[in-house]
Formats: sequence, structure tokens, C-alpha cells
Amino acid sequence: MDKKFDLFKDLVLKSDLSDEDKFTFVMLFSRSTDEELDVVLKLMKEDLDWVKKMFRNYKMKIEAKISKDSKKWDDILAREKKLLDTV
Amino acid sequence: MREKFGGSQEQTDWIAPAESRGDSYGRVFRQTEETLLDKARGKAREVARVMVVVTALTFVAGVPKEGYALNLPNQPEKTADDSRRDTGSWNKKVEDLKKENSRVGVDVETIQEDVKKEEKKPQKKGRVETEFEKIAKRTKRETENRAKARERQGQREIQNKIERKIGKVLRIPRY
Repeated sequence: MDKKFDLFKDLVLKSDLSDEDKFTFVMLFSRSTDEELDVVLKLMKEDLDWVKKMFRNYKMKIEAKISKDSKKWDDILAREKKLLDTV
Repeated sequence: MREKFGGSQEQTDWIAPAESRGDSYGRVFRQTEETLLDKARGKAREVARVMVVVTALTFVAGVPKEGYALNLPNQPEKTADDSRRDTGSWNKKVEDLKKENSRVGVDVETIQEDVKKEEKKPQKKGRVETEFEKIAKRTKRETENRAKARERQGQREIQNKIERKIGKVLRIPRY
């Protein structure tokens, strides 16, 4: 059993994401390492709202990846900088 | 094996290496994003790390489709191979197979798709082959077929050469 990943799944299930988004998010992290999962779990345990924030961040990134639009990447970085300033 | 990007080893060595998980486009963005990580302190640092992890995973080529039971109401329950570690080893096997066969030009991805199609057909009784075994068997068959084709091609070329030589001999004017 992979306890860390199970905990991750439980927390995602408790989040406000839609069922489809929950599934996508769990699939995304199914390739994560334990160290990566530790970092993410720390924030998720503190506040489940981070699940939504992370998923929003992922959605923007996957859209930018598909479109290969460098402006979108600039926008993501700008948003991330803004977010880091607020925490 | 871990990868460093400009920042110190301790800042990035917990993230899976980008070289095995994404394309150059992803690496460039990750490098840029990791400069944010360098500057962030305290809570912001934790958040920045999460952002870098999300980026790393976004650039993972393909997403495993089996073995990740989420048990949502609309999702069929999956019990077989319910371990992300197993899928990891499976992916490694496929990658190894790709490397092994890249020299002879066998397209493992096409074979993989074919095997998935075959899996949808009803299974015969007896021992069920694993997906990897099926791919390995099919790849071996493809490799052998290509080797035979190359051999036939070689024989044809030799035959053509002989025929050309004979043709020249036959065209020699008689006196």
C-alpha cells in the first residue's frame, strides 16, 4: 500500500473539485515521487483550498503546453509571482 | 539520478529529473520557474516548490491509464495492478524496450496501441499474458520480420548485380 498516495487521494476527494477534475488531478500526481508528494501534501493538509489552486495552476500550464504560447507562460509566471507575494 | 538547474542541489534534487519526464520546452519553463524558488522564503518557498512540482508533472509525457483506482461514483472500480509503483516499472520496461529496438526501427508505440486493441477482444482460457509480455512477443516478431525483409532485400540486390553483369557480358558485340 502506498500510504502517502492514498492520503493524497483522500484529500483530493474531499476537495471542491468536480469529479472529473479530481480524477485528472490524481492521475497527474500518480507519476509523482515521494518527495514531490511530501511537498504537496504539506500544503494540502494545512488547507484543502490548495487543491483548487494547484489544479488551476495545472490547467493553465497544460493549456500553455498544448498551445506552445510563450505569452501564456509569461502570464503563469506573473500569476505565480503574485501568489507568492500574497502568502 | 537527479537534475540541477542553476539553483543549488538541495533546492531541486527532490524533483524528478526533467530530462526523463518532459521535452526541452518544459525544461526551459522549469528553469525560469525555479528562479522563483530561489528567491522565495518561508511559506512562499513551500508554495513555489509546489508550483515547480506541478510543472514537472505537467510535462510528463503521457499519463498512465490503469492502476489508479479513485473509486469515484462514475468511475469503474479498478482492482488489478492498483499500485503506482507497478505502473512505474511497467513504463520503465516499455522505455527499455524502445531503446533496445530503436536501432532496428521497430515502433514500440504502434505495437503498444495494437496490443491495447487486442486486449479488448475476449481472452482465451489458460494463463493470461501480461501487456508487457504481449508487447515483447510482438516486438520480437516485428524485429524478426524486418531482419528477414532485409535479408531478402540483400539477396535481391546481389541477384540484380549478377543480372547486370550478365547483361553486360551478353551485350558484348560479337565479331
